[in-house]
Amino acid sequence: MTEPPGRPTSAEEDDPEIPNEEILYRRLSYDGGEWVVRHQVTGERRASSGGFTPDTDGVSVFRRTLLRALEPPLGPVDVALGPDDVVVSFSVGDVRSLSLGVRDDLWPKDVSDPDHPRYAAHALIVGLDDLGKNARIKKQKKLAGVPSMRFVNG
Amino acid sequence: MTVLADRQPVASGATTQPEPPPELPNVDDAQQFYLSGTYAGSTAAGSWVYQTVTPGPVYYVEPGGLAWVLVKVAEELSRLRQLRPRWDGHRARPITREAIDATARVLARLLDGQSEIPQFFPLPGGGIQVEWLADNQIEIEIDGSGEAHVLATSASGDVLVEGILDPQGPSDLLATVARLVKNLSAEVAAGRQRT
Repeated sequence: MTEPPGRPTSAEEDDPEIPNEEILYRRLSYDGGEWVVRHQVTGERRASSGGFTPDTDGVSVFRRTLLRALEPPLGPVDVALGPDDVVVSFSVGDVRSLSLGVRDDLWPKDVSDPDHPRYAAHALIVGLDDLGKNARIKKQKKLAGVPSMRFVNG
Repeated sequence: MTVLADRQPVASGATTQPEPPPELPNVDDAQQFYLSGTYAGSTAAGSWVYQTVTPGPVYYVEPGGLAWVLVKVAEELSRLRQLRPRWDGHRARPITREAIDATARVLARLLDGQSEIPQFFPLPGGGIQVEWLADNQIEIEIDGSGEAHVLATSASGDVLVEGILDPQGPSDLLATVARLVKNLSAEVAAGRQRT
């Protein structure tokens, strides 16, 4: 049996109700730095695969449609903790093309500001933790370089 | 509990005075060893020097390119060492001593005086990632326990080399990665001259 295109192998971890066209935001800044690697000749910047290392439950992201549906609507700048924080966007379809999943994780408790309204749009990329080290590192690298990856803040 | 009591001489006729256990090197010593290059001036090309001095070996770095490289590495490791728990806004752990020590050991085997400084990133589990990016890309992930894993890819995404890096002993993989770093550094230096 073959997997349908654009769906993760670990389908039980993916929420098929989230459309492939959904845009996800990921904050790449941390305290004192950012997971952005620069080309050492041209200076061009790219998301570092280190910024997609999973926690025990997955990679933390925010869904654009849920952020926009809030009152007032939120955007990528609201995913940032500071005005210069780097935020990238990419599509759910690109995530699924790597056989990874996306599922909602609304109002997580393990964050420093759990009452912020952005957490009504919180989700997780899942499936990286199930992999061996070689496979996980390669998949993180592919995730950091998916075609839809864009810098949208910072 | 007393340490001295644990180290009493066992021979009845022994006259040796009890001594505390010897102080073993730690990661701070490694960092200091790197930083010692700053005291050496800035003339000839750098190289590792090993010299036996009573009562034990002393390592230092001669002045020059390698000293500058190692000072930069030490600065980056010191910066990462200062990250506090939850530095990513979630559950990130502080960078472990094992990761810092292993990163220093790996880079000591890979870098020379002409090397490009890699880019350093903390990892939520207490590890460190170092990356070089030009036409090729070299990523080394050192996890919180100090295990290092390399992935090098070409501009087209083909895997050039991957696997676990052991900085403690001879290794074909280590030699291959050192060659890739050397080639990438030469490419970057040439590219900078053109621009």
